[in-house]
Amino acid sequence: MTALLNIENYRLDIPTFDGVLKVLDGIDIKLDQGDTLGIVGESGCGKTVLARSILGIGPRNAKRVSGQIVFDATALDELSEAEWRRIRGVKISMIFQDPMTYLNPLLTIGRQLSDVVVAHHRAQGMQVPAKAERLARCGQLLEQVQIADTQRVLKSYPHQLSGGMRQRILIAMALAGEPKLLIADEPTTALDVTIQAQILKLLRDLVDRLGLTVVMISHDVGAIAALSRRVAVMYAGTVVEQGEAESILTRPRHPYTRGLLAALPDIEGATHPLEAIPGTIPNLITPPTGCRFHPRCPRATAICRQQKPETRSIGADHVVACHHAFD
Amino acid sequence: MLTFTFRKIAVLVGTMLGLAALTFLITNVAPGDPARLVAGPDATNDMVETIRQEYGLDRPLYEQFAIYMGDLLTGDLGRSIVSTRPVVDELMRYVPATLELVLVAMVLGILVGVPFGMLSAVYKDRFLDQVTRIFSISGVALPAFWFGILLQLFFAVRLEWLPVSGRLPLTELPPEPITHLLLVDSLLRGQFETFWAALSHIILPAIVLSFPCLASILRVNRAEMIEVLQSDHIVAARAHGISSARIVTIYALKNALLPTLAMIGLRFGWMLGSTVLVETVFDWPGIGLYAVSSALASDFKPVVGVTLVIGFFFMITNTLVDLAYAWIDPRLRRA
Ligand SMILES: Nc1ncnc2c1ncn2[C@@H]1O[C@H](COP(=O)(O)OP(=O)(O)O)[C@@H](O)[C@H]1O
Ligand code: SF4
Ligand SMILES: [Mg+2]
Repeated sequence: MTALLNIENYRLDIPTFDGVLKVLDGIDIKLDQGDTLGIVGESGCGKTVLARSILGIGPRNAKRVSGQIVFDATALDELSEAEWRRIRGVKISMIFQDPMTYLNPLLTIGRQLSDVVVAHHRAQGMQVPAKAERLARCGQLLEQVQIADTQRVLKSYPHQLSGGMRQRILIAMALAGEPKLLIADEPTTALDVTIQAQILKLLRDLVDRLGLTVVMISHDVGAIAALSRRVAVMYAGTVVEQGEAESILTRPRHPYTRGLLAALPDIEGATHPLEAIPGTIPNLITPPTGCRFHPRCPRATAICRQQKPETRSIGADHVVACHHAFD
Repeated sequence: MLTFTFRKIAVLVGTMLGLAALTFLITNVAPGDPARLVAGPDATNDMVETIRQEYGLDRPLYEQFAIYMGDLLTGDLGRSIVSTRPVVDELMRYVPATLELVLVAMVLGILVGVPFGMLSAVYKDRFLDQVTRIFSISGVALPAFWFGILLQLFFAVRLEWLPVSGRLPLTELPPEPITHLLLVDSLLRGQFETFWAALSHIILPAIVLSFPCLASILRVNRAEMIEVLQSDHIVAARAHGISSARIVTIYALKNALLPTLAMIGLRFGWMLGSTVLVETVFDWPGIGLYAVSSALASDFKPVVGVTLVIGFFFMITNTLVDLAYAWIDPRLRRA
């Protein structure tokens, strides 16, 4: 079976005023239909750029240097704007980090949700349903994300609703077109802790019930673990380790993954500063040679500075890109 | 929204009264003896004294103020010294001409400025954007009288497509007044030939007057659109598959319109106060010419009248802009 999503050797540059940002450096990610993948990594490592590239809404001036993203046997990078319209929201959709800023402040929820429903009908060449039918569909979509007083919510503007409510609405919008693939870019990061748990549970339920294929992105290993069967660890525009969540979270083989997990708060909520990774993420305009992690890596040797480590298989579903991976 | 509207109207009335008081202060407390000014340079002291009494200038200031405000509220702005006619009657002749000119210029500025601002944001740094940039820079830089004469020479003298000046041909009788705006009245009365005549007269002066206004609306709308198009909710709308056309014309434009509206309000007031050059070039019988000729003749009642009228329309526009703001942006309605 071919993977639903196949990202191969994907390299992306963003020209900026200060120089060219080598933001993605040969990303390889595979995801089967019905599977769930978590992408974890520090802020600024390129998770959002990668996620948006899958939907063709990345930075306007970004240049693909190599590789491709294949979804459902379609090479996405070759699509025209008209062809994208048959993908966005319908085949692949996305939920976002800050539910406040991702809803239009000047349009009612009903208007925004109903526009999405209309767009999906158009994209699939179907007749646009009548107003009453659209409204019913919008109500249904809100019920699906466990919003009770749907009529009031549909008449509301975003600022009249709570953060948790807004995120539920954005999830409803993302699910409106019954997409095959859902990308969730830090869906809980901007929310209060109690709301985070509710939204994670909602997502978990929806994934189980609808059999969604999911790419879940977070810098929070806990959120990733709650929703993903597989995990990809990103560092400075590269995937350093990928495989079954169980295996990666219990037996990390890459020094960066080890550091990331060690930096987690323990059960009492205290972090272990000694085990946290020293240093900061590198500048992507002049990234470190060889392995991009070498300036911060306790195991680094000469070869790490000269040669980019190959991604190699070390288990049934476990790959790592490191010259001196842990056994 | 209703209480919001009432509050805005209350503010409008308050500011209007404030403006009236201010004009009183400026004309009465400012240095210079109004009685002597009215009497003229050759008047004897006796004559000045008579005028002082006649105009009530010998009474205490608060009494004068009460009389002035009382007159204002009953629609009495005094008489012009030059023509001896009531200022209100003269304003009724000149204000509609200017108002019509400014309104047409404003409509032109919005109809061209908003869509082209939007398009040059969408096609940022491409050909269309470069063209509109040249256009909007020249809009600010071209002197009105020069530009006006240029258009006259080309379209009126050379091509003879449009009349050189005036508001209507001398042979054309203006329609029976309803709103005193020729374009509106002639349509309401069904006099379409008069309408075309009035339209052909107003086109050139309206273009000249609207050019700087159009340019600034265009620039503000472009800048706002560029910013809004990069915002998160636009990214989300694209991700949800909303069409680009809909995103630009509804999702982004609605957000970009707010600052554009503020500019429209500002420009409206600015145009009302700066019609004199255009009125001179096109021989347009408006308040700009009236105010300047009155001021040169030291005829201060008409000047006060014009100031109040301009202030009045300026505040009306600002109130309308505030209401439009709240109509567009639900977050402002609670205020
Ligand atoms: N539109 C853009 N223009 C220039 N640089 C960008 C743009 N978008 C993202 N970047 C840069 O790309 C890098 C990765 O960003 P991002 O994908 O948002 O990281 P993450 O989501 O992992 O926190 C960062 O250094 C960021 O500054
Ligand atoms: S390749 Fe070298 S520097 Fe990079 S993670 Fe492995 S040991 Fe560290
Ligand atoms: Mg991000």
